[in-house]
Amino acid sequence: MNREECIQDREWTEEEKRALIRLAGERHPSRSLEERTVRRLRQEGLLANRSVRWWHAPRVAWIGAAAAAAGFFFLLGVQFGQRWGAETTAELLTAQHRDDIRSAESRVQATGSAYVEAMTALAALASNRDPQEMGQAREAALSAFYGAATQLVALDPNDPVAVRLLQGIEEFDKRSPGEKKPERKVYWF
Amino acid sequence: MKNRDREWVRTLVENGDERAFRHLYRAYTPRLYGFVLRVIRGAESDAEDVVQDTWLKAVANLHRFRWESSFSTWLIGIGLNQSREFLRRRARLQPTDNPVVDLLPAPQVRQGEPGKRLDLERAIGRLSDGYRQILVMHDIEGWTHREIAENLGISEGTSKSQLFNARRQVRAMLRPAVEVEVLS
Repeated sequence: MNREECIQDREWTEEEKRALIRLAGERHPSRSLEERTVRRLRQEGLLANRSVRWWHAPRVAWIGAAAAAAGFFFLLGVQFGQRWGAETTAELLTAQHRDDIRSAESRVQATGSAYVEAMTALAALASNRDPQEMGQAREAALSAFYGAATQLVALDPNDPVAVRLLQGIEEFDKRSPGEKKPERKVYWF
Repeated sequence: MKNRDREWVRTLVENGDERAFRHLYRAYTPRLYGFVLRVIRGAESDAEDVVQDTWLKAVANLHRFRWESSFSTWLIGIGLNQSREFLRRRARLQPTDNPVVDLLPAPQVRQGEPGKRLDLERAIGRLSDGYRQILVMHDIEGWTHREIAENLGISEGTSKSQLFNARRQVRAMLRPAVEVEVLS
């Protein structure tokens, strides 16, 4: 080996080695190469199953999948809407029922008050010997009874006690000739 | 990574699983493609054809792979053979490279463009096919002379002398024009 060859017969310099390392970097082929290679492998029978990624599915499949998804979400929305609407309606009905109950309770209370009014008036009648005052007390008691019966009938039109009370009082009013028919009004406090 | 490679290879061999192939393809093709591109010194479309043939060969023979080397080394070895096959086909259609001519600097350098150098990759690309293969395998891909000798069917001594000649040619091409004129 002559001197020239000895000079040449050396490892790369550090700079040259770095340049060579840079050359060893990856290069990327076109994206279609992968699909072409897969197709060739399938043609050669070297790939057994066609495990197509869902995003590789053809356009028709995409449209079908989109339509199915839309239909599913629509039905889901209908179900939800119906349930929500039903729940809202149920709440409304419940509120209505609650109102009816409260209304009924107030009627019962009014009936009770009327009953107490009547009893008080009767008690006053029993202890009072003045005919005029007795007449007034009697009228007050009857009016209270009438009011109570009216409330009962409102609660239950077929209530026998309420119906008889009303019939009895109205009959009594008819049999009192010459007397000014009393105005059966009860004022609740 | 090695354990994952074994799993993908096993799945591909046993089931012909496409997903396993795609994993291996994406992991190793960039390096394989760069190697092939450099060895065949051809158009990118030619390199892609060689890469495709490489994968076909690799998948067809995967059942024979015994993990005595890394999957990458094994695959590059197949890529080298496919590249040499391509070069043989091309040589039949084109005039063969003249190693003597390749010792001279590029014409534009000799025409006196002071300080003008060929860059390293272009210089390697101007080597003859044989010199270029060995220089790429040893100095860029990091193969040993033993591995090169086994893959090319030559002796280790031949591999070393070929590498020596390849490096000398590259250095000659990288020398600036002024230097060349002084030496001549």
